Amino acid sequence: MLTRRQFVSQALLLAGALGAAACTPAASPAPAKPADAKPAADAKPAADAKPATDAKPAAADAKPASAAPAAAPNAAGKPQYKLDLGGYKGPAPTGQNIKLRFMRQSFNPVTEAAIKAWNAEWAAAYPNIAIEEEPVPYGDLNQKLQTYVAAGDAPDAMMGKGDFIQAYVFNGIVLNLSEFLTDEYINDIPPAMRDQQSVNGKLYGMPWEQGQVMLYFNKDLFEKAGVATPPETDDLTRGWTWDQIADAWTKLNASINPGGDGPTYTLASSAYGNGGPGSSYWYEGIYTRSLGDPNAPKDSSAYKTFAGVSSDGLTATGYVNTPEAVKGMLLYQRIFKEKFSPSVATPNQFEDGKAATRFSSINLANRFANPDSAPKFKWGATPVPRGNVVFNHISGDSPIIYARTKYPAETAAYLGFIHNDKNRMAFHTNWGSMPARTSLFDKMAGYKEFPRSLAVALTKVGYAPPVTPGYLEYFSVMNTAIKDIALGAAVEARLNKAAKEIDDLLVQYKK
Amino acid sequence: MATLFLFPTFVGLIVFHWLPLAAAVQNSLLRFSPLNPSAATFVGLSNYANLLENERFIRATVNSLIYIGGKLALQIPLGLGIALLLNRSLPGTRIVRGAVFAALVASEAVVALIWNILYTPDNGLFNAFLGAVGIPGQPFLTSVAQALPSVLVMIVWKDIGFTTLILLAGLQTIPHEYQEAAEIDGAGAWARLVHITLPLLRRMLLLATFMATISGSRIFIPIALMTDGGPEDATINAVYFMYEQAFKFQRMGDASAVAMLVILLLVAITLVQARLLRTDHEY
Repeated sequence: MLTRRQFVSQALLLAGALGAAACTPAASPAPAKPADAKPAADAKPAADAKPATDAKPAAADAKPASAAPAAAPNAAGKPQYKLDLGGYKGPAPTGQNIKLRFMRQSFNPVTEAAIKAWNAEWAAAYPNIAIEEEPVPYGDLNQKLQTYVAAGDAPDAMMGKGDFIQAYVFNGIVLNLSEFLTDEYINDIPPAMRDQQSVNGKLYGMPWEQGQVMLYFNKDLFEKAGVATPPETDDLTRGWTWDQIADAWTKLNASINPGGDGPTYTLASSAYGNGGPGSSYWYEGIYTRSLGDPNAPKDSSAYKTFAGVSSDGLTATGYVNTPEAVKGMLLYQRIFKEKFSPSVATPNQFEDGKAATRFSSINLANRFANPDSAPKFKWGATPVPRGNVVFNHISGDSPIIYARTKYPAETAAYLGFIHNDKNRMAFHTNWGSMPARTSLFDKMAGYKEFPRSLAVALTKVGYAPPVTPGYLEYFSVMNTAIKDIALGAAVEARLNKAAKEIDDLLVQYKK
Repeated sequence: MATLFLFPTFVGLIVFHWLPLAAAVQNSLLRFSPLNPSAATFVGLSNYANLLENERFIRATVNSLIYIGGKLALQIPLGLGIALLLNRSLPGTRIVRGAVFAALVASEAVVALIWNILYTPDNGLFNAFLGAVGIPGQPFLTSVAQALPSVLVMIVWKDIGFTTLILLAGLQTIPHEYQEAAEIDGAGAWARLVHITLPLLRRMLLLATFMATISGSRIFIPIALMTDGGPEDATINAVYFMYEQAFKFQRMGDASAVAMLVILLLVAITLVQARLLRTDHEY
């Protein structure tokens, strides 16, 4: 029989053990040498790193599901498969019973229905190759991917991000897709996007869709404020500058949000990341990098602002904290200081007629084209405001193949299948985003007409995020810095601090 | 026979507590990215040395102590007050008890999101109340000065039910005769509280304090959902810093070292608490 004293002291001990254990991060598995990953410790930086799959594909170490011969070629010399596997050119998928895991983001019901349909088609043709999908919320993808890889039990295919391909390759966690895809397919990917998802000319990510940033505006609110609207054009040289849009925001704000307390704002909350200030460098980076100049001398501040990081990918100081970057961030800070935009994420402001402008992709116009979700106001679209250049970050969601998959060919075949023309068309029609292959534009209705033609034009000014093997860290530091700036931090000092933080984090990638 | 019955629990403790702890100790001596654990290199104590020179870690540790201190300063007295009220059969006791415990069982993530809405600058409920009495809207979660207290208030609101539960259980074990005898001797309510209730409640106070300290040191979800550790690191604590190191900066070794230091800090704090609140009273 325990006395109360004994009971309490044992309860304390147990609670202490629980608390202690809860404080520990997940343990990593016992290190097992992955496929052919070059250890980070002595790997070269991505700029000149030997790609993970250069030596030998990871799967070459793993026993393939079968030694299936390549399918019989057709007249064109391309193997014949049971299904249209798109750009896939590898051996015929195995006849053995296997299971492939695919982690991807979850979509809306209508898009999920399209995915279900193509999976049913796959199951009918290859009943022995079961597809186990793991849909996760979009924002959790990257962390899930890292956790799976750290645990050594990642799905065969995962929805990665083209922005992080350098990091994936540096750490040896992805397979070279060029071995499995036809040149015709690879060359159909828009060049900037293909370059973003390649290292040393080899493709590691399979671009899923394209996004771009354009500026939408509520014509009714502009009219009410007596402010001229931006030009509705797909001629990027005719779009407004940052100064012009800032001037319009100031006038609009005086009319529609004089006290600064809403409920109607001049600029809607960010449509990216977590939706608040500092939502995603993919969007906010435009404010700074567009003030740079890709054609300026390499040692100039304008070029460095555009590049965002040194050519070896290892230095941020002098690149993220240039005078041009400070200027861009001062404008961004004004957006929140003068309450053009709310300082916390507020969903659906523009759609509900509660914001005069909004940065978003062509998906919004596609949604508005649907009578069920058409807005109750007149709207227009215009190019993203320009600095020295019209600037967009190319978007980068892209399935990757885990380097340690036991079934590289089958995984590539499945990815080829879900990327075939028919399935891409079904996806984009339902989801509303732009295809990541040039040939599909001609097949999709309306991409020669405004505003879709504007989206096409913007893809031509899509630039990759700063090229560094440490872009995961870079992205995180910049998001935090940009949020702090939005909430009032001294701009130059905060950018200097961010630059130093990034430099310190990039040290681990030095030889 | 007793060993046989203890065996499942013992195995559970080893698998789910002690092995992860041992792995974390090992990891804290390594440098590796979660994307490439096989490339881990042994760095000895340099992760610890780097942390102790890291301004953000020091800020996070200080904030952790503020969270713990603030939680204890608010939660224990308030929890005691509510427990004392609930211990008396007053009208509405059942409703108050239900309300207090409802917050306790609610999902922390849901509560954080709801409080995010309450704190919204332009149309949040709190600023609406302030506006109604002529006080300008406050940037609860977006100002360096107010963000940490705002997060702390939400956490105390969420967790106070647990403290109340422990102290109420303690109050109900105090023999009623002691109170009656003191009352007959002429002791007032305050004197009975100070000289009878609190001394006899000491062990439960120790438990409540200990649990509040542990939970105060492990705050993560509210920070992640409400402030991301900002603005300007105003709300970052050691656990959020640890998460950043592991999943934002790819530094699992540093994250594990943070975990070890947090555990050491907690052990030190709880030892001090145990010493200060020890009692020889038996009843």
